[in-house]
Amino acid sequence: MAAQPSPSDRREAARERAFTAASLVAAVALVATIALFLVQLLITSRTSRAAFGLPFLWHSEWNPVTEKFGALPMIVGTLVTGFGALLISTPFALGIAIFLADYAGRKVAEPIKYLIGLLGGLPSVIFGLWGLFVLVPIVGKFEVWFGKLVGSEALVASGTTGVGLLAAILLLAIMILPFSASLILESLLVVPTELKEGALALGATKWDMIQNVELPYVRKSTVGALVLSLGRALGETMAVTMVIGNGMKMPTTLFDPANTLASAIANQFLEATSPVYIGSLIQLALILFVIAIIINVLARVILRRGIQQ
Amino acid sequence: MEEPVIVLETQKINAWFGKEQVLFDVSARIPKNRVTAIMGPSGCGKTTFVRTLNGLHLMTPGARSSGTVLLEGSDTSTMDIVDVRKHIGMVFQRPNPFPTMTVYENVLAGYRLTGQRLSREKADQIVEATLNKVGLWTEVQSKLFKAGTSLSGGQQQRLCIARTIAMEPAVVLFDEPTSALDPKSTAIIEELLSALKSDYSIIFVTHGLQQAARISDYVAFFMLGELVEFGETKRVFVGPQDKRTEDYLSGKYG
Repeated sequence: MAAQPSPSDRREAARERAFTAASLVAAVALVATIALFLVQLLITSRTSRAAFGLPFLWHSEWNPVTEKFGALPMIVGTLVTGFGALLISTPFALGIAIFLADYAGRKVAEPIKYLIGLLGGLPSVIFGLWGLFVLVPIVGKFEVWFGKLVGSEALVASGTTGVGLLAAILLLAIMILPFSASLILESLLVVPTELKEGALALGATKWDMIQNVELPYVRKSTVGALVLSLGRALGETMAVTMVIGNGMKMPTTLFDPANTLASAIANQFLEATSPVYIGSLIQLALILFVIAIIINVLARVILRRGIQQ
Repeated sequence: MEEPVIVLETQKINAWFGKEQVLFDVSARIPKNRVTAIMGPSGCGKTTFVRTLNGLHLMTPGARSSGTVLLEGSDTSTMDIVDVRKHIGMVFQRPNPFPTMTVYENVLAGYRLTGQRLSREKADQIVEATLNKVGLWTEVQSKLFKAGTSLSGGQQQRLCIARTIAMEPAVVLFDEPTSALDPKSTAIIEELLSALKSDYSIIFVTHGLQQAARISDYVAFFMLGELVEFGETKRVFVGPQDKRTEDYLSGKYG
């Protein structure tokens, strides 16, 4: 009861201060890392900004020989593969999540959830290898078939490779599927039982209930989940690099070899020797960084609104 | 005393959660246009009993049931469960209006959920008439297009009653609908019951003796999954025939 601090109290207080300081340092280090990272990107990319300025964003020529660089083909490649993958994978993700939440019994759902988790944790180079040796030849055959169908000599000729935007879109669709399916499933599982039962008690079938009660309830969190999945697709590097074909021209069809911002960097950083070339690649990284931040903020805003609702 | 018309009859209902049996051979005859209270101590199977009537019991993983439920003479096991639920409505323990729907849409939720289209006039008419029946029309008239969850707890529960009776069921199950409400909202809902019973047959689960005595014409006393006693409320309260009922009424357990 004495007001006098005992020696053990003082030791406690000192330990407390030391621990607070240590965790503060860790927290500051994290923020500093991100800040320094950004600063470093800005510094190393300044050769590119000095040479091309803002038009770097919409110029579509990328020529290491003449040292003319523009990012538009990669920006387009990134957005086309990202949104394309999202478009293809979303119906499947919804289907998987609804099946697991409402139709599958526990004995079926649990192993499938485990497999989804496993698939989501697979290193992307494995997806890339599979893409290169299995998916790309199939896309190539499809391209030849499609080329003959529409009478395009060019498609038939290039179909022998199969690498390009379409292969990247399909591979990305598969890669983000476990992620978006499990995020949507999470939100479906928190729909209150009393709402579901309330709907069933009114004579709704399961499907009526899902459409009119469950899906509206998770609408916002589902959009948030999809935006996060899009973020993954936009930044995915290894697998895309392996199947997209390292084409630096503006793609005109889905079969064209192309590059995303990420795959361009991965494909070319070893060849980049001149400061402007290096700077331009880093400028690509900076653009990707900004896109990633925008997507994440967007997802956060949507998710928060979804929770408040 | 003349025999009342029977709207719902159960024959030897048994129910299980996994291996645990929670109802044992429950046979009851529920009179038409009356309030039948289901009372008994916690865990006696009251809620499970009403949930076997509309098949919600089977929604719980691992749950089973056996026995026959006759609705106005026809065996519900031969009917589509969706049709059974259209005839046997249910109001839950906690108000559960659909949060993504407005007050107006909540009243019509049953129609929307079962894919029945209504003309604008017909819809307006149902909403106004039904909200009037539950005494909510004047209170929410100006809030029809606000979220159903924006109302007070008591109003939400009456909204849930409205959406249930909007479907014109024969029987309405109330599963302790006032246990999450304040005394005033409870009183409003209790008053409502006597008005509703001219149109519907009501089965009302309660763990409150006084509430059962206040609101019901008939009472079923459950204990440990058995239907111990069933009869007119006055008769059961004044002269219970089973020792267990007597003990319960005199407060030996509850």
